[in-house]
Amino acid sequence: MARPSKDDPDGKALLDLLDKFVCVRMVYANGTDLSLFHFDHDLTFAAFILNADRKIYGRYGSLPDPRSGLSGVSQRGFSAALRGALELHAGYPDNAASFSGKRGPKSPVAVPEDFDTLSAYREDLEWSSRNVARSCMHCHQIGTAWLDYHRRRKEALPENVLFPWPMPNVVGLQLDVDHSARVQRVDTDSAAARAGLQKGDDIVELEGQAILSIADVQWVLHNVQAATRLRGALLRNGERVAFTLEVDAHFRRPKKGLPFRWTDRHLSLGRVSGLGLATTLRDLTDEERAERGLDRRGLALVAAAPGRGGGPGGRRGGGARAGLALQEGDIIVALGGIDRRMSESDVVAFCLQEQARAATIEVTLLRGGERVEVEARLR
Amino acid sequence: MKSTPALLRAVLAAAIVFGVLASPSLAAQRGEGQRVLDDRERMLDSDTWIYGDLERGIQEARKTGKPLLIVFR
Repeated sequence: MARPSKDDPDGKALLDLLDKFVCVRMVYANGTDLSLFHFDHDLTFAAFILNADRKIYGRYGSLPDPRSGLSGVSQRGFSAALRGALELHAGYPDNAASFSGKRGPKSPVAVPEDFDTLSAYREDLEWSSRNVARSCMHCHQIGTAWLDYHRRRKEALPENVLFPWPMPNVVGLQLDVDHSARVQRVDTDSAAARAGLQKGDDIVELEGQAILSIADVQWVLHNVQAATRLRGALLRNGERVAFTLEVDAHFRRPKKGLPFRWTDRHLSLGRVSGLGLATTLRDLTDEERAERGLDRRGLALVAAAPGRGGGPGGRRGGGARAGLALQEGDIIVALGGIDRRMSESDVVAFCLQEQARAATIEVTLLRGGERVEVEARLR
Repeated sequence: MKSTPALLRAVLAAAIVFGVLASPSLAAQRGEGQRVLDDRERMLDSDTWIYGDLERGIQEARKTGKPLLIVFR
């Protein structure tokens, strides 16, 4: 998002709106109240709109998806969120109860410095030192610390730690970045299509929460932990219409490949799973399975060529050093005794959830037509 | 002693390699540190933004009755 300018209508509108807020800028994550500030830690721009009683009206800022060309933020979208927040603020405190869902659960660690992996940081920066940059904790480090927090305790990683802040496209919704939460496209045969959502609809409420932005929709999706029906309301041609969005337990997992945010070095497959897979894994198509005599319902992930940097698709996975040395063309047909059909994301989740306490995992491969049993080490 | 020049050469080579590898990193850190300090100085002069002080922001919001906008950037 470009820096707003008074010379530009959108910029002027945004700057005029900022005058109606007390604006606080945080450039470092040190000392962040983790029970109040739940946000997508991979963002470079994350905004909270709240009041002096720490009641959160909404969030703003979404991660652009480089694969879809989706931009995450815009001046118009930001202005729309701020206008919505001013309306909510005008209704406060009569509407106070409606903001309870905007705040997340109490965090087991109060501030990021309480994580073992971030304990070297202090609550404030070393302003007088030339090490000021080194004393500055970045937001993405909190996301990584959450992964490490669960892994060190050998706890199953919650879905929303493993696949955080899903974009609405996981339910078949493309929202317009220039509005609060206006539907730009609905994918056919998606949860959104089944809920009856249409292009041009403005989502105004989800699970009882006022929706000011795409990030607010993400917040609701982020907190879904099991198959459920999300109740919402939209505006269509000025009329308020109720809808129900039905999602399954694993709705946020990509059907193909891994989440684009995992291209980040810190969240690479090798690092989080410990499997050290040096290649991408692709689910064999039904035709390919038929050619090889493999069951359509079974596990059949083929190892593709290693990407740049020795990791899957350019991710630095750690390769054979970390454990499993796959060769191009190997087909994984069983993992930990499980041979049901799984995507690459499912496999990582399986290792980090169902096998969270295991030190090793049995892997059955087809290599050159031969069945090979190997034991991979899980970190 | 034959080994001394070899040892010196090894130490010198290591120092050069370390220097080449370390210099850009240190320079980058100094640059980033200066950017952080410059940004802070500019923001401390801002009429619009409170820099890195949530409690001051909350007090200000209470006093003025305005809502708060907290930006992590």
